[in-house]
Amino acid sequence: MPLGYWRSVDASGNQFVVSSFFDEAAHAAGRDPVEFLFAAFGPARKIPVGNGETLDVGRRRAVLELAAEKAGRHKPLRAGRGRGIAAAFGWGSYVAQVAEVTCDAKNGALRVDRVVCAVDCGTAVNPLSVQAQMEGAINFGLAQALKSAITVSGGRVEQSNFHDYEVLRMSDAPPIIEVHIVPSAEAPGGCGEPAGRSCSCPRSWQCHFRGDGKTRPAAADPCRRPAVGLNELPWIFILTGSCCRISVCWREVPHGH
Amino acid sequence: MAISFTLNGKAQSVDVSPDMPLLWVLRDTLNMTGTKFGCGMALCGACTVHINGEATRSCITPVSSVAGKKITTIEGLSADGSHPVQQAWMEEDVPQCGYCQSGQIMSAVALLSKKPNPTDTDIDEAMSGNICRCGTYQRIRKAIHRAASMQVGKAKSAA
Repeated sequence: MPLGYWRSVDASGNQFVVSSFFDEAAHAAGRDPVEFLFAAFGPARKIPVGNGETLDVGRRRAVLELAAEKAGRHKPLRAGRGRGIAAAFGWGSYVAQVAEVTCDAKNGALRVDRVVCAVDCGTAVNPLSVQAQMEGAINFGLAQALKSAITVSGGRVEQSNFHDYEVLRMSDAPPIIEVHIVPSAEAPGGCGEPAGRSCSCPRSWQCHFRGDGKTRPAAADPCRRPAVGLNELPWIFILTGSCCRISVCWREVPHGH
Repeated sequence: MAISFTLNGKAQSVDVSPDMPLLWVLRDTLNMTGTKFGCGMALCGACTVHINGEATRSCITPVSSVAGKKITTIEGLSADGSHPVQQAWMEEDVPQCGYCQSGQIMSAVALLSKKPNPTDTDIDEAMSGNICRCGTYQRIRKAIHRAASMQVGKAKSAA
């Protein structure tokens, strides 16, 4: 099947798998997801990842820490609200994001209340543009997490317009998106797709409701609307969180454990 | 058959097929390309204009239905981008690619004319027919609030 272009290309789908895996692993281990990611990242060091790119674990740790801190991750959330974190690396940039989500106890509908984004894109040539790209990518990612799906039947795409290919609208858009840019003199990295990576991958950002802690496996199809019912309240899956490419993540695991 | 209406305050007459969508008349016959084609099915809001003050999707509006009516397009808001909503849009740096923005602005102007100080819920309701694929929704919301306060300020200073 011919593939078309999509913001952040294959990284979106990969990151869904990576972030889902890490979050479920943290949950299964009874660990705080942020602490778990720090442990998986390991100490600050530089790792060549091919194509001339180097993963700077120190920078990666810094954005994760910044996002977690700005989101106030230790602050308790009211009942029915959850928080999820994911971190991304790509195109020379590092992104971490925290989402706060409310699940309607009656109908299971999700609302993303707040997204806190930290980005280290090296030298921010135009910080306003960096901020705009992060905001846009978060909204783009949310569309995939909550609404959009392309399905193929008999070799044909079934959707034809915005009535059957739904995208994010004003009423779905999070009231608050905060973007924190790490001051840096490093070479400029990309900004449209790293956050797109962080955000456009559906539901790889997982929000745990601090409830009874029951876990639910991620759906196999990342482009399907999350099915969240009353009995699934403690554990919901929301957008995003493009970390590094998948191989890097795997490689990272042994370092921390 | 000639169809006459008022366009941005001036009398306009066009000799086109009566079932031609108003959007095509604006863009192709009158060469006013500020109003955009998006979906052609009134699903995205890119083609929004005002007909007698109501935000309307011009892509599904036959030109015959606007005979005798007053139409405002993005070009008619101001000659120099000085309309408060346009100003607020600039101050909040709303647009990214810009394609949906004339439709967004027209919907916002229509909202503010009915509700000069809209709540977030009002904004959700009035603006959810306008898609922005770049994801500028938070800035649109801010810009509408800013335009509302600018208009209040203007009214106060005029009084």
